[in-house]
Amino acid sequence: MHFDHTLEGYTVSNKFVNIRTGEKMFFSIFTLFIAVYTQSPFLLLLILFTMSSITIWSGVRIKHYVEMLMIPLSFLLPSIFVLAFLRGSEPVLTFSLLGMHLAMMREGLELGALLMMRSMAGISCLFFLIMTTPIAEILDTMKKFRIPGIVVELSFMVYKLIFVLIEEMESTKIAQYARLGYLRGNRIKSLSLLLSSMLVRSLEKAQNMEMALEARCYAGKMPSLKFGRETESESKVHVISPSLILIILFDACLLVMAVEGGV
Amino acid sequence: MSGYKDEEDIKRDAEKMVEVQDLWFSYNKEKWALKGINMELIRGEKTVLLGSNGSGKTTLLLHLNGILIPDKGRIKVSGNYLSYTKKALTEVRKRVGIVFQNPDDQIVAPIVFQDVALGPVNLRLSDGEVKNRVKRALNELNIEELSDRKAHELSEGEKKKVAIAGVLAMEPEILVLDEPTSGLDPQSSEDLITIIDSMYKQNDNMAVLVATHNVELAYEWADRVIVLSEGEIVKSGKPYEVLGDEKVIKSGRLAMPRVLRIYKGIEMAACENPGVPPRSVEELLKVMKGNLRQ
Ligand SMILES: Nc1ncnc2c1ncn2[C@@H]1O[C@H](COP(=O)(O)OP(=O)(O)OP(=O)(O)O)[C@@H](O)[C@H]1O
Ligand SMILES: [Mg+2]
Repeated sequence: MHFDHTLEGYTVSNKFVNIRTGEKMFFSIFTLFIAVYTQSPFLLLLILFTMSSITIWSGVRIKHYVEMLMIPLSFLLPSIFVLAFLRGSEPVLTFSLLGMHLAMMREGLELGALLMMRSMAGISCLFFLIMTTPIAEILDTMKKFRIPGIVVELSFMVYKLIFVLIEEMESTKIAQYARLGYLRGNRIKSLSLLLSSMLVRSLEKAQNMEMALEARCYAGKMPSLKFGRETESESKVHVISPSLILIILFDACLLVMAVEGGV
Repeated sequence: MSGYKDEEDIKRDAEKMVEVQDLWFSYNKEKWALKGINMELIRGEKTVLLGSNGSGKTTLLLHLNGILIPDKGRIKVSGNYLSYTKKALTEVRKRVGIVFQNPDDQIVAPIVFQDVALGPVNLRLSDGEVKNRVKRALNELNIEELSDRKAHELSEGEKKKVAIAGVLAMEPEILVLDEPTSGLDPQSSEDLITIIDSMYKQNDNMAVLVATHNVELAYEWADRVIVLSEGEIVKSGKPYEVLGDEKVIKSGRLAMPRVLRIYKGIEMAACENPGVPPRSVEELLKVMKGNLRQ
């Protein structure tokens, strides 16, 4: 699956294309801040649920959403699992492994669970943004809000290169399976080969892309969608739109709950 | 040789759009990728750079707009030596448009018109001008109907055309294409060449350079052919002079164009030389018919 192509497909044809980029960015980022701030599991779950259902409702296929979610999850889960052994003093589960006594702690587990929910809620906020808004529009809006050019340009490069990395990983893995990698006994070797070849190929691809961009005098500007044929006249949307009111209402509620719930 | 140049040479000097002088380059200081290249591109001329895989075609092209910096030697574009400051490079890249070998490396925006607009937008042209240029570029390549398509959904041939349009929208004086026909079926290749041809006829101030290993294309289409092998130019000149030379073909690890091979066979059998050798199958057939009638 070409994640970036699938994504870009969604960003240009979803139920929210006509909502202003600024609003969507505000919604996503403000909610993200609440997810970072709050300590309430209920609120985190609420954010996760609303954000992911809105995103899926806008037109993203559940299958793709879950697949995308698996990427950060595969990094998160192991570290959170380890956390359960490190924090706290009240063991809930003890066992020994290779002569070591290991104990899972209640406090560590709770912290891990909260962290997990927080990360998922945060990810769902960002997913909403990148799945409903073309990257060019996001970058444009960042510029409008006077975010330094270097940050904007870096964001674009990171955005592009994450996908290059994922794609290379997929295709290298297929090539390895085809040549009988990952059989018993050579998993580790296959894995290290995968990583090194993935890195080399991604770098190569990134370099080619950079050269092609340079050749076209790229200076950090992504053309926005307004350059398409006879555009719908520069839309005269009112500053206060129904979508904005909804967004503000929703975020205000979250904020009140976060503050009321106590820190 | 006497010290004066004939008229054609003088005219040629005036019309030099790119001059490469004794260019040496190596990626890793172990092996030279280019060894003393001398080359020029002339206004209104179609030049084909021929070479097998790894001969250094792409490396050479990347020097023409300052993406790679020579270890030794200099490059002149429109009479000025390249300098590698940011401002000078932007100027050069406006003049020299390079279409890359792999369109997937070049097409970065999700929608076709958006990608075509990338160059003009970054040149800080006005919105109206950007729109005009996008329209014109798509029109010249006959792909207006692709304007709103998602770039990744296009076929290989369509992607190539979009990549070319993206470069054309910057209105370069020198158009450089790296392997434009690789990965295309014969019909699409021919269509693409026809399009490049008509484009080039419309802008008679242009110089076109195509890098390829397709000898048939070089023979039939080029005004001038340059053969590159292991980083060195084996020979450059008129298609027949270069590609009719067995030694050049051999050291360039190429194959002689079919028309030329057949023609040489006939020529030997008929033991006479009826002038200019044919460049296409049609021309060859004409020669054969003529010979049969005699
Ligand atoms: N980024 C790089 N780093 C190191 N060596 C390189 C790099 N790119 C190319 N080379 C080497 O430089 C030489 C010339 O390569 P180049 O890509 O210019 O050939 P080419 O004629 O374009 O070949 P092809 O027809 O396969 O595209 C080759 O030996 C190649 O291995
Ligand atoms: Mg090449």
